[in-house]
Amino acid sequence: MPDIEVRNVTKIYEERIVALYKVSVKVFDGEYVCIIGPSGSGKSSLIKVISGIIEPDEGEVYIGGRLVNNVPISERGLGLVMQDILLFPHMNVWDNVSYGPLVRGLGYDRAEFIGNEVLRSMSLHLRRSAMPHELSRGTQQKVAIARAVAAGARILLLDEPLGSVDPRAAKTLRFELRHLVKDLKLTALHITHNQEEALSIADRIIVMRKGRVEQVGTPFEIYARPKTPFIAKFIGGEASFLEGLVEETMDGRVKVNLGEEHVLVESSIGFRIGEKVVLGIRPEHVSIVRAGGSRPDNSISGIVKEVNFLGSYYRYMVETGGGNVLVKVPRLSAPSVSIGSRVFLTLDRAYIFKYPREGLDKAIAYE
Amino acid sequence: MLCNIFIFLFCIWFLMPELVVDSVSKSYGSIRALRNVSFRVGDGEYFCILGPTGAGKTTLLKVISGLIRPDKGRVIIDGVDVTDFPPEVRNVSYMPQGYALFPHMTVWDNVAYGAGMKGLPEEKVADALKLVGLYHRRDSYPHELSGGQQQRIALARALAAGSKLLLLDEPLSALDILLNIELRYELKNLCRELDLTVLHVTHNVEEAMSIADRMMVLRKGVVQQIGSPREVYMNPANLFVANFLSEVNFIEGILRGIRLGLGVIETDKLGVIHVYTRPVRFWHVVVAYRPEDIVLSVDPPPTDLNVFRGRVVEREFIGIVTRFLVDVNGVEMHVNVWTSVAPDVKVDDYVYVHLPPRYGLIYPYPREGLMKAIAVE
Repeated sequence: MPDIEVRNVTKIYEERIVALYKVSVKVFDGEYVCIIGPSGSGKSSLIKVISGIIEPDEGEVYIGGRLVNNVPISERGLGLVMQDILLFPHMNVWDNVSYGPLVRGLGYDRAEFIGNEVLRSMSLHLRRSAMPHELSRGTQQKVAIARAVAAGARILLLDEPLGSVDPRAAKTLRFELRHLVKDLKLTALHITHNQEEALSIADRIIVMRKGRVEQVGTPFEIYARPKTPFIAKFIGGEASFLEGLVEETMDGRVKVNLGEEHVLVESSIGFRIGEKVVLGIRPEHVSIVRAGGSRPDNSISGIVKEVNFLGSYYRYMVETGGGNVLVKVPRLSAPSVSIGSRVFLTLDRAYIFKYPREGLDKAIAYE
Repeated sequence: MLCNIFIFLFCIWFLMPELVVDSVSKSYGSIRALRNVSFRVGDGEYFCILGPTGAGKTTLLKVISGLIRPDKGRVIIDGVDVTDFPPEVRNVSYMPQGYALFPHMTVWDNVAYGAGMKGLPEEKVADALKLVGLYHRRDSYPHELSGGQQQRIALARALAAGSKLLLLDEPLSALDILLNIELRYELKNLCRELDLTVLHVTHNVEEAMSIADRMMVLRKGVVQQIGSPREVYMNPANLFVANFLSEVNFIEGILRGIRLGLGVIETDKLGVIHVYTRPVRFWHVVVAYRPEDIVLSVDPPPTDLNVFRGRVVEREFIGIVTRFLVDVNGVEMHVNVWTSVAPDVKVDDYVYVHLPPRYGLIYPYPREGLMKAIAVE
């Protein structure tokens, strides 16, 4: 039985802004699920509906199998942790953490036991006397999570919990967060706009856009098999898109005419000959060689327009007959090409999509 | 002789830097925000100032724009010492962090404000809005625009003033990461097309590396290094720069000698490691390895130098790269591998870890201790 289930939830603000449209999502017991999407995709609205802060216009919310649409926030058994860290500023760490058990009437001894257990499990016991302002943002957020856990929450709803933490500290903290959830056998639903964070931390990812769920899957599934051009662009970052026409289809492969050139692309779905399609190309799935030698099979030609050194890798912008293609190559295996070089690009992998009805630009826009 | 004079005059005329900051210091009470900062930015250059919070980046931009007077030092723009000039006559455009758009004014009025103060014609406003692709939103208010559009309006306002020197304070930091990536290249291309000289302040290493012609790393008001992104990344001047630019691994040791350019370093937990080095005058050393320069493999690598067995502690898939944390004799090492060639190992598996001698960077062990030397805050 899923810990959280949202069925067909719709929420519309001011009769025109569609925050959520027929959203259905399940989060299973012990799972760490991330919701990712650009600003305005409905991520926060979904968490607010689950927690009870806002009521959905339609649809049901179940927590632990129980319909909770009419259950008040305080009785849903959830711990809500926001980007703005809301610790009691006049209380030290221990007082903040033990506050929940005390107000639940568990008595001082029990509250102390729970508070200490939680602080120890999060390696916060040495800071129990510290005041919030004496702690880094990252540690403050850990205390906020400890407080939610001590208050009895088995399900954590985390809204950009690392959003205000220094990026370096956030990289360490995301490991701790996942370990904590797994060690204490909690369930977590974590909102982020940071795709690296989601890929790193989640068992499964829900990608949202414009109030709808676009894809649900493991981090690798979402990265390796994006369902739409938007997801190919949003997860992984900097994908290039080329428009073309299907010229031929054969055993799981499609020959696409890109105007001046053709490429063969693997595909599990069928296309009609002459159908307009879009190729989504990740920059790390392209091999680049200087033109001059023999032309590699299934390659497209282009001219290097931009070279950027990014430390661990190089980024090349290559102009081809069908449009610009980005290529990223690790520094240690970078080819000797520079601006103006004629090159051949081999697509090690490419995603093929039906041409979106609203046009490509709109289909991949994240604002 | 005549030839030398000609070359000298040529250099003055054509290579005169657009901006010179000379020995600038500024303190706020006991806080020394800038300490003897000097650098030059050439005409048409895209120059990034990179540093953590509190490095003095914003103070430096304010000194250049004239909003703050330095305690010491000079600011020279196009050969003219402007240190005592008020901001409005410096011919500098400044885009502050957070954009500072007037919420009660339309897009047009926001952009026209700066130009109007300078008595510039209306077509400058229209041109600037067209450049950033938002002329059609001229009657909108800032709150009706997305974050990316607000950023473009702030940029249009700075451009409309018509200055050739543009100062940008964290122009992209309020944007989602993907929008940040898209707009950073757009920004650079636009500035290049308009032939502007740009100082771009950021705390985001990747952002600076992507677009800077040259960059300067600043820490606690002190210049740490100036160079092209490649120079700074490949040859960090000190441990702080090395650590700030990537998640480097540090290994402390004693340099026992250098044979044929190969330094022999005795370490506490890894035994003896070998790293190529120039002759140095210190023996207590820290060796830095970038996470992408360490080689992980299931099979033994074809060398005996610097090869260790390690246990995988974490494996983190983050898309293009997979990050590993490997425990080698009690030393935790961060290793980044391109996902497509990442070894097929899981947590608790044992792997070979190879530290190629040519990628190790050797630094003297810092007097203040390693942690203090690399501390970001």
